[in-house]
Amino acid sequence: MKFNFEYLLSVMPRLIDASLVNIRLALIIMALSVLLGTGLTILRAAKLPVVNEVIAVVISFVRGTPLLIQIFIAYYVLPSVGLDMRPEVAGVAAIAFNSMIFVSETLRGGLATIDPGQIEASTALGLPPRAIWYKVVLPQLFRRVIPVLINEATIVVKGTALLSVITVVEVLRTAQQISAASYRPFETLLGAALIFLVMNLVISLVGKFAEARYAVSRA
Amino acid sequence: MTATLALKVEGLTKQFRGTTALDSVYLEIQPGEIVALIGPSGCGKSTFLRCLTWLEQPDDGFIEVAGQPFGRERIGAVVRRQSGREIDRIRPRIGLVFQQLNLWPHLTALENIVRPQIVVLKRPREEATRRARDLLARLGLADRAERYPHSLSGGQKQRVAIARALAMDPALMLFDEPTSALDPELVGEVLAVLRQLAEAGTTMLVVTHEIGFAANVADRIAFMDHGRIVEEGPARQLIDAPRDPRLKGFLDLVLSHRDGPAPPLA
Ligand SMILES: Nc1ncnc2c1ncn2[C@@H]1O[C@H](COP(=O)(O)OP(=O)(O)O)[C@@H](O)[C@H]1O
Ligand SMILES: [Mg+2]
Repeated sequence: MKFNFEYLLSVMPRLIDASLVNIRLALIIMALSVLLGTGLTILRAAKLPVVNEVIAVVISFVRGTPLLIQIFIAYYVLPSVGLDMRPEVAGVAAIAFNSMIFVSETLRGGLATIDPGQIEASTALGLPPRAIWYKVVLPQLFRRVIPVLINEATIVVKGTALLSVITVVEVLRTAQQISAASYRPFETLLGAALIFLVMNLVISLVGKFAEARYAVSRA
Repeated sequence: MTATLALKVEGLTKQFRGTTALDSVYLEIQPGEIVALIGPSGCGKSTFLRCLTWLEQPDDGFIEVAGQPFGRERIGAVVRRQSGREIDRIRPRIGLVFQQLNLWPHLTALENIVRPQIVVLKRPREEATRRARDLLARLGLADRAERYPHSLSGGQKQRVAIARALAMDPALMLFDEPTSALDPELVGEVLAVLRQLAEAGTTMLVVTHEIGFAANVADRIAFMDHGRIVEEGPARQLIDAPRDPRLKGFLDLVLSHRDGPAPPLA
């Protein structure tokens, strides 16, 4: 079967429409994972004995098993224990959980690079612990981990393609549907790949701007 | 009379797993008074200041700042430990300047001084900014307001740290060897600021190895050894006529180890 450029162009509009699903899900996942990852980091920094051990077990599970299996678990297993999850919700939950752990590990790594003297100075000035997190620690942490978060965002965007296996009609599943009807998998899958490539190039560009923007105030 | 003291410390004690860092320290500071705290390395000076700001929780003893119990209070025969929130509320009454120049690197010099006023004292931003600019000007840093800490010299950073503490209107300023992390040529500008604060009537407790500064600027000197204040008195008297043999030994050591010419003590 010869490569047909015209055909590739003809499927792009449908794939681009479908990419809105990936973009929407990736945005929700990133927002959740940064928010929850930050909360998890603060919780772990409190060094509560049992809590940190439980978290450590969860982390080793999330890091030691394939994301695809985690997605299936969220899709098949969780509804059977009473959580009625639509495919999109299950998929977002699985990837966000996975990503949250990664964000938290990254933030924890950054935490070690913040001079404890600053924290003591903040305490001595009378800043309550909450304010120290919000005004002193987190702003510095996020500046430091921007490159890693950008990288994580590209992984999350690619990860949304995995949701095709649990019937979420996004770019990859749309491509599969098209090629199943037309028997032209090469062009449609290439079109799908191009869409992910463009999305990730945009993320990298935004990341470069963000880094440049905050480099000014870096110590 | 007691109520007017800027600082009153009674029986402050702190142990670290076996080692006694503070051994029942008593100290009173009148408003406007400048007290220098001297003593050999490891004698407990930093621990004392850290306990005074409750960065370390003292095992025993009482602190009063401008007549207000801090950390622990006595209600009749009962001793009550204050909550974290109560402690945070009183903390700005004591300004602490560290040896390390602990500015927030993600904020400009100006914001370093403005933020805590807004967050802790709930001052409106305009008022906080006005106070910060006044202080920067007083400390000779008017043209450094918009700079980030990494582009300031050590002496400038330390002056910003001093301004940040002063902006909280403390009843008392504590300095922990404020010049010892600085390059020698920058020590002078920070000492000049301390002199200026002294002239303006700021109540200060200064831990320092600058004996010349202690002798010339402080009203009183307290000498600490092994976690106790073993001798205390008017600055000149204590240096010219030390009574405790440990103080004598310490002064001999410090004065003979100075790089520059001996300061005019008499
Ligand atoms: N966090 C700590 N843990 C254990 N020991 C400490 C701690 N801080 C200080 N010490 C000990 O307490 C004593 C007093 O230390 P410090 O107050 O730093 O002395 P100085 O400031 O006079 O040099 C020293 O013996 C020191 O080793
Ligand atoms: Mg010290």
